[in-house]
Amino acid sequence: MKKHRRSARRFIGSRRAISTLLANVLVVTMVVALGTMLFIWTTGVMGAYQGGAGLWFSTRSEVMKERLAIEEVWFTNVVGQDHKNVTIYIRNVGANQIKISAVYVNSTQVWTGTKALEVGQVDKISLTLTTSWGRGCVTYISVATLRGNVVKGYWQAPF
Amino acid sequence: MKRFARRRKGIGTVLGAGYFIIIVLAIFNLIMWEVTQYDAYQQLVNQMNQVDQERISENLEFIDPGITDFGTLGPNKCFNLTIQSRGGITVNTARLYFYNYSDTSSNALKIIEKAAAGISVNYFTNGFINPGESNHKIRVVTTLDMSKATASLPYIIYLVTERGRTFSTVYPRTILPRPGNMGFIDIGPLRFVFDYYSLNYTTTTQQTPIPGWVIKPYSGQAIMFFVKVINVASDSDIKLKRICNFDCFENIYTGASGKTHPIFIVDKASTWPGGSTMFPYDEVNKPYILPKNPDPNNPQGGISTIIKFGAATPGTATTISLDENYVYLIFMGFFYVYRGQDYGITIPFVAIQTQS
Repeated sequence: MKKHRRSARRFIGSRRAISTLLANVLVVTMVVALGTMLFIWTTGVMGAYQGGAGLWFSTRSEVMKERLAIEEVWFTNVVGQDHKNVTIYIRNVGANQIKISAVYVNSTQVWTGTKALEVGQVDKISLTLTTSWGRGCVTYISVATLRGNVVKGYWQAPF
Repeated sequence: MKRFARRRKGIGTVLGAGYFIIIVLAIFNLIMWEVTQYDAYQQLVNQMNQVDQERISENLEFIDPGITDFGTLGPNKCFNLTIQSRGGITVNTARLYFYNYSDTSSNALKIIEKAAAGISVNYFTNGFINPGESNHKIRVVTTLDMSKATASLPYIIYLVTERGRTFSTVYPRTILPRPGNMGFIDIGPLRFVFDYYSLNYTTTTQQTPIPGWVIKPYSGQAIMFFVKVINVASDSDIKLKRICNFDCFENIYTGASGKTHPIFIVDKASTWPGGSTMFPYDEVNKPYILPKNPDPNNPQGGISTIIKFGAATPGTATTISLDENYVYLIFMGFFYVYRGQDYGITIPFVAIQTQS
């Protein structure tokens, strides 16, 4: 006990080495503080990057798997509707479920909604146009999916 | 250890190094993650490209008259759709649509599904078509009486494949009246057609075939010709030999020297005269076989085949070119094997021009 008291007195009474000690403590504290800040910043930046890149890869992969085909476009004349009906048969030939979100006829949106098509499945979308299709007229039809793929084609109405 | 613990210096360096190592490891981890993700994405892209390539490889043609062998099956009608496959892959038919083009009522469209349990009518069988099949018959059983279809009340037949391709034909096909004997010439069992699209060409700059009557603009590039030929014989296929050639005779009056450019047959997979797009003709392993005429009453005379000429010497892929601004008379030498015997004929063919 006496020994400890003596060394404490010697330490307090000593004129040298206090600056060295403080310097050491300061350097260690700065390294810890700066290192921690850098670590937190790096983790945040990397997390944000990884999240964005992961979303991009997963979205692109889903889009890439989509394939659909317009098999047939059938122009019909339902009684009383004056040549305004068109039926489109669409087949999912991709590797992923597809959700049809819109159909455009001559660049005008005529149908919106969500129609799910499983892989290999074929389904139809029946449209009623606001204007009659002309006999023998070539019609430009686009079908868009919810993920942003578009399949387009020209189809001729019967004479 | 004690010495290390008592050392006054170095603790900041150690901590700094520790942080540095952690950050480097984190960046490495991020790079590895990104490489893995990119690799997985690239694999998917390649897989879907393969799917697209297979889809593009499908190529079907309806053979005249399109529908044959009409009959009945109980109360229903049955007939065969006759098809040939010119693609390089097996095709699986998914569905058929028969669309009465002169009818806009709800009865105009008949959908024919693949035969399956529970489907007793409006179905088809034999929907798998192998590459190279020249007279494939898809059997259709339906309530539709296609024998009553006429040129003024035609149907459009759509054949949809499982890969999403659609091939169509009109039935009955409208056959234009033959203009005397000007539409084609028959020499031996071969028929050469003279319609506008029966002679096409490609060059290093014109890589998709277009009609070759006037080659313009042309400045001496390597050239390849496509000629439509039909085997009208109904008793045997015809195999073409490697010395078949397309001879271009320069007309001296246009300033040419009157020389001859013999252009020899190349492989059927050739597209245009480039290093990796034109291939030597292999008479033994991959010859042109002109299929025999399956129907002697066929007004078109049989199944057409496109023969390609582009090589400077027989059995090679050495390119050849013509001279610009000249007139050429074309004769073709066709050497072939018919019913096991060798033949050779000279065809007085067309006259073409090259213009710069």
